[in-house]
Amino acid sequence: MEILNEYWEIARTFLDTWGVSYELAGVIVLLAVWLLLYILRGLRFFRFLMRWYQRIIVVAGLIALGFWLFYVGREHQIFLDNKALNDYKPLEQVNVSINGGEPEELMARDRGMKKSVGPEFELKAEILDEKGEVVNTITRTVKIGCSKDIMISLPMLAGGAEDFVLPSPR
Amino acid sequence: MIRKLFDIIANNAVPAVFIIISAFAIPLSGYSASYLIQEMLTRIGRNSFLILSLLIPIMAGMGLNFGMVLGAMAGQIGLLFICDWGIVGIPGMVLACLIGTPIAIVLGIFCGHVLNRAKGREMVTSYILGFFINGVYQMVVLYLMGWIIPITNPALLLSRGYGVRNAVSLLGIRGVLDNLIPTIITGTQGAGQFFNINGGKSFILVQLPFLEGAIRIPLATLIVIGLFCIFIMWFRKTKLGQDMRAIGQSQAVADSAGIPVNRTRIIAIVISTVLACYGQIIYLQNMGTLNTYNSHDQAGMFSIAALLIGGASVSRATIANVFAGVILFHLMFIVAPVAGKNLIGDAQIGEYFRVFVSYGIIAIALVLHAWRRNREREAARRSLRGNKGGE
Amino acid sequence: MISRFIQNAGWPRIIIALFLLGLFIAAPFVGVRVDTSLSNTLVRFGMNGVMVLAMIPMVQAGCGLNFGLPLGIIAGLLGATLSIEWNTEILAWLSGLGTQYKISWLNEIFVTTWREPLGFASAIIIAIPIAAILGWFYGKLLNRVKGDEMMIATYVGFSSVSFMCIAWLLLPYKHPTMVWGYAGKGLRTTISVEGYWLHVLSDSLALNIQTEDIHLYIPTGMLIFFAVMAILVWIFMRTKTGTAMTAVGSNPEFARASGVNVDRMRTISVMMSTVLGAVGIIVYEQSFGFIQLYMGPFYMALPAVASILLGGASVNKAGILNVIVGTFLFQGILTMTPSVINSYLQTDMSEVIRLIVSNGMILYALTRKVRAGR
Repeated sequence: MEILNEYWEIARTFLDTWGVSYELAGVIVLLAVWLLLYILRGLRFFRFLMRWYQRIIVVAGLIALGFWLFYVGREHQIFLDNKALNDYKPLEQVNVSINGGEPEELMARDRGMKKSVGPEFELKAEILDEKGEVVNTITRTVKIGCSKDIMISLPMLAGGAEDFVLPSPR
Repeated sequence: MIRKLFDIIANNAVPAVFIIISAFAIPLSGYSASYLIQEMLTRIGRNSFLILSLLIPIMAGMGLNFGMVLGAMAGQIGLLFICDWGIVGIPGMVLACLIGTPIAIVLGIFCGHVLNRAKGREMVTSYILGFFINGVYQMVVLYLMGWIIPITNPALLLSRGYGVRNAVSLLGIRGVLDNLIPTIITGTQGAGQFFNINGGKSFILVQLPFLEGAIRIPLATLIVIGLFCIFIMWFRKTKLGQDMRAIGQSQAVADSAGIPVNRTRIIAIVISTVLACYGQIIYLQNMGTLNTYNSHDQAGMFSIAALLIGGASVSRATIANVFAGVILFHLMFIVAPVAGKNLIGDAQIGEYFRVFVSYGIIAIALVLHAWRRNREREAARRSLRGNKGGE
Repeated sequence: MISRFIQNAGWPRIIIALFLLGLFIAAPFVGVRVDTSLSNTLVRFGMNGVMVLAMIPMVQAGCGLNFGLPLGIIAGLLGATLSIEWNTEILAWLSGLGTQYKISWLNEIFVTTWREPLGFASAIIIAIPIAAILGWFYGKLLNRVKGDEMMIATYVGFSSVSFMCIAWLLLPYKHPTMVWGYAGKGLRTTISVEGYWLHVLSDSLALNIQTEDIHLYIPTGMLIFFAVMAILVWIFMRTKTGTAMTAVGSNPEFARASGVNVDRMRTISVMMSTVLGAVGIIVYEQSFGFIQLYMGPFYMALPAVASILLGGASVNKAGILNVIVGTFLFQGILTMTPSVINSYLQTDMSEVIRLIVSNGMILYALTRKVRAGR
């Protein structure tokens, strides 16, 4: 699995630098595999292998598709926490929106919940002071991966700590 | 001449009766045209895939596949898993199909083998098989899920810690296919603003001046169904499809022509089961709630009734029958309770009436089919005797 | 010898019989009393026996398993509800007879002592002609659809039940214990027979021992009633008509050649089956205590069909012994699984086991005798 991860990292760097979306890359890879098989089928030598070969490829492809769908389609609950934690004081008021949706207003010691779909989401937090004026706006892309629910500690986020993503309280 | 007339009437009696009933009941119900069109479109999107899955076994001469509930159960198991994992949207639907497919294939192979052992009474066997697998399904869902099969979401499980609840909310995939390409037909300008779909984002808007109100069209679902119809038309022309039609005509002839009869019959059932699995997933994404222990039962009965109302028989069904059936059956479905209430003053009667009609229509179609077949057999026997007498 | 026995009995039957035996053996260890279970099994045997008996004529005449039993059940329900509706009138008429013929003790017997048995008898007497008429039409229908009887029977049963759902709402019943209180019309979903003919058969001659050590209850009257019905069927199957019927079932061509009217025999068998179904449901209700209307009779054919198959019958051959063995096994499993398995696993698996056993049994019978089938 480690090796796979490494390959994935390499592939992702390539894709990111070229600006190709992962979905498109997936389609291209599948097309390439199909083309390869199509060419191979023309060669007599491989013909007797083809049926099993094709079947295994198809089944493996479907399983991979399943995992990919699991990865892309998973809905996560994101608990937003505005309580004191590790010397970080709760914020007076903070408006949090996820993936550009409706913002949620959280006062000090509030806890809220938002949902997002997919392995990562964009978090936008507007931190307000007592007068209700925006002091600071933080925008982050948070990766969840395959884990189900997470909690975000807003005081830690505002304080600049990197480990503001906590496990789900449930 | 009279026999021919009788045949024509017998072939189209069922749809004709329904058109007449609907023609009386629609004005009685007092529904507007746009409401009825909207409902019809929704129900075509919801049900026709399930009904289409019945066509292939009919082509192979295996009668109405009451075993389609097996596929529906496989689809529901797929949906239960994606609900547990929290997979939403189109990926969730596709994943449910992916999980349901192998289960449906295994069940389909089992069903095919059983039906090959009960040639000549496929329908009653597949019907009982549906009940039998329903027992197994209940065992799996009610006792094994959450105990041996890992299901962790407390929203799915019964309070005792294992077994799935009776009603499961499919909020995550509700209407995702229907609203994938949001389309609205309106009569008047700006009526579309009353619909807040797709988060207020853009949608296709078609205006027809003669229409009152607005109609939402499940365009993506209809496209999927259209593609599937093309698949069936193409499938009829393939080698496998031709083989199935040959078997449907006569198993003995097909066998002597070198067609592997039993194998082809199993394939027909497997295809039907897998398609029923997808059909049930499409159906439930429209409904938005899964009745864990009843949804599949109703799927089988209503699909078969609708197909028969569309003018299909046990041995012959076309794509046109499917759509005619959905429209006529569900028209009655919507209209009957209200008409019953307006006519007799009791909605319960309309409710029972449509249940009666669903069962009655299946009974009548089966009787007509058996009757006609016996008459043909009798005629064949008589002509055979006549030839012998002449020699 | 053993292998021949296994072949004759069939694997599923042996497995189920062993399963039942295992349940009886396991019962004391999980704190379930064997005598109570046995009594319950006997009660349920008596309740369901006649309905299982209704399978015999149609199977023997080659009409297959009677999945259309709900039709007979409906006739029985009509008889039962009408007997309650007209209870006073019937009794008044009978005592009127007594007065007319100056037999004063008849009055007393009719009005007080025999009130309940007479109600029960009137239910059966009303039900039988209804069942016979329905069965006649049903038989005519099945004669037209030879070869597809079972599927059509199923749907005839279903559609008649759903038709009667409408009828129960609309029929002009008036009796206050039967109609919905607030509307004053439309029959209730369940009607109690208490005060009319509750337990008339079960409690007559019943052996009821309830001491410290033994809890035994044997509904002798009901078992005798079943025995009488079984003997009647047995005798009938040996009369000229009965043997002709069997001949039609085993070889219709031969039967026709030897001058038997095939269609007539089949119609008679269907009528008999429907009548027995009607009597069966009344026996069931007097023990159960309630008349279940509307969707109640919907799936009642399946347990009866499963029972006779479990007793060793096939799709085209059935006898009294099959009925007795099958009903006992099937009802035994239905009684024992909830009590034994529930006290062991703390869950109610009886419903699921009932579904799997009964439908598995039917499935087995349908797939087995392919060569003997038509």
